[in-house]
Amino acid sequence: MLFSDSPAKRSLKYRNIETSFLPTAMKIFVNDIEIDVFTGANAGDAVISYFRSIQSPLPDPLPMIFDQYGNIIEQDGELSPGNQIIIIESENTSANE
Amino acid sequence: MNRLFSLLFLLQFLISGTTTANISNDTTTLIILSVNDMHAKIDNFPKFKALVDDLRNQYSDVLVVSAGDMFTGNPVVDQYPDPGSPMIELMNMTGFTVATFGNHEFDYGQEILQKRIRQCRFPLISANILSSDPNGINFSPYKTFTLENGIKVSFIGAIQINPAGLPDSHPTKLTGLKFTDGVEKIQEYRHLRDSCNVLVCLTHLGFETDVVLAGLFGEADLILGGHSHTMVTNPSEYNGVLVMQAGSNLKSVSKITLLLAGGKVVSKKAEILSVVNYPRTDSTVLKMVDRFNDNKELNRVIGIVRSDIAGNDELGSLVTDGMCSLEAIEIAFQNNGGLRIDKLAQGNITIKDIYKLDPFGNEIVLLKLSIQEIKSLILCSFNRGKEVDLQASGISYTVITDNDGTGVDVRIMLPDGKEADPDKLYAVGLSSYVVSSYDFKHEDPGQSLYTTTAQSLINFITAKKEIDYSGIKRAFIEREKQ
Repeated sequence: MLFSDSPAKRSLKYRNIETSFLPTAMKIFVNDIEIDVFTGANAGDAVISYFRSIQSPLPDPLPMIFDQYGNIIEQDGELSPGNQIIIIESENTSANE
Repeated sequence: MNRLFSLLFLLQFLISGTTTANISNDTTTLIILSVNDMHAKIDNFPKFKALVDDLRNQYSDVLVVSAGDMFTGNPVVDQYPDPGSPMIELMNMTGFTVATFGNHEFDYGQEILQKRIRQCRFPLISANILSSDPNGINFSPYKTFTLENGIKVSFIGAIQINPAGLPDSHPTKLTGLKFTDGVEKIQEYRHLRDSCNVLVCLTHLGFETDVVLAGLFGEADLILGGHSHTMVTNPSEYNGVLVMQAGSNLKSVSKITLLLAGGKVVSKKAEILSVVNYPRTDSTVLKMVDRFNDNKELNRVIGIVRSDIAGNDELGSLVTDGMCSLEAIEIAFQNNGGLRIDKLAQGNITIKDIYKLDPFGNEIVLLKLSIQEIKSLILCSFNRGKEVDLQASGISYTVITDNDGTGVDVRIMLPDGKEADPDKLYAVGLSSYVVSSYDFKHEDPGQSLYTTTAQSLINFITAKKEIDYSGIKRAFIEREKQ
């Protein structure tokens, strides 16, 4: 067994790095599925995380991204917690970077 | 519609017999052009200037506004000797009326931001930023402009803050500043409605938050926003407030046409105009942009390579050492796919070389990971192609494979030769791309440090002056013993 299901407790030995800056999860909804992304993630990051979470190959190019009002969101659009984005999934898949 | 109102008021004018033109019996067509999230993309300014000028020739009242994030996103501007100054010079030339602060306005630091504000020939506003430094930046919450016919147009600004209560910029750039919730703060300015004819929220909050604001602040005529890079394809009113945003990078602009009669807004129309496809170019601004693009700073030598740095092992070690030079980071990883040149040749190394090596603009994300989680990351990356994919700094590692070449275990060594502590959480730096696309176990979703891998490398080499990575190798493969 390489790693256990319960990783080391977060309180252990972690050095005090900019405590006001400690990470918190940012929850984003992609096609109504809740995704945890890093704080500061953009719309493209959320869509990539979405495909990873549903274990689907990453399309190339990424699909167009919309908000709940039907507007287009660019991939580098910055997100706020709770944002809802919508993508139309296609069959195309390809490698990335 | 415009003609109908003109006729009605002409009729009223004739009946009343008055000879004095004033707000109460005047009609006004006001054009507001709003851009957002230009992110230092200067190449479209010649077309944008031509578009603005053409509308100014057509209409007497044209205001041009920016809804934040003028800076960050183009090395030509970000690495300018006076960072950001080309943007302000071009905005001055275009005749911007007012701008609001975006989170990326702080990326160069407050000292440089103050210089840029002094350079501006237009005001910058934000209602939810307070400075505790009397010599620091003076943040005006709003600004009112009076048109020639007496119509008053007020703009209130607001900036996005994250759950930590700060805009999305590195916290060290925000020292001494206090931020409050933009939606709540703007509502303290309801009184402006009584003293102006047009009330505009010029925000950098993101479209979804702008819609929330509209629901709470029906006094506004418009919300012109930024931050989420939303292209509003179907302009709509929410609670009677028209909310607009025009993508990013100065590819498009929101054109708002307001018709006022008797000093009141009687019609609002919004549309997106393409800047990229605008048929005319301003030749003077084109020359300015060409001059800025010929940025000699990008050719500035930042260090010397003692011998060729070649291949993924050496180049990846260099890039990750740059990430690890950030105080917050103990261990860093870089995926091979993010390295876009084969070698850095012996001799001088320039800023331009760094952007060729690392052109993606990926931000560094800090995650607190246990050693088990780090192993999960390494195995995930390795098993994508059954080869080393992640280069490292702060550790060296060996992937143990089975007979099929599949990674089954990882041995991690610290620089002092000791094994990693299984009970410790390590501060790990990853590119935003790796965090999003690699499927590994991690409880901590991470936090962007709001600086790019390229910038950390530039700073690292500048500090080191000379670098030598010949023969450096930190990732190994070993077949499992039977």
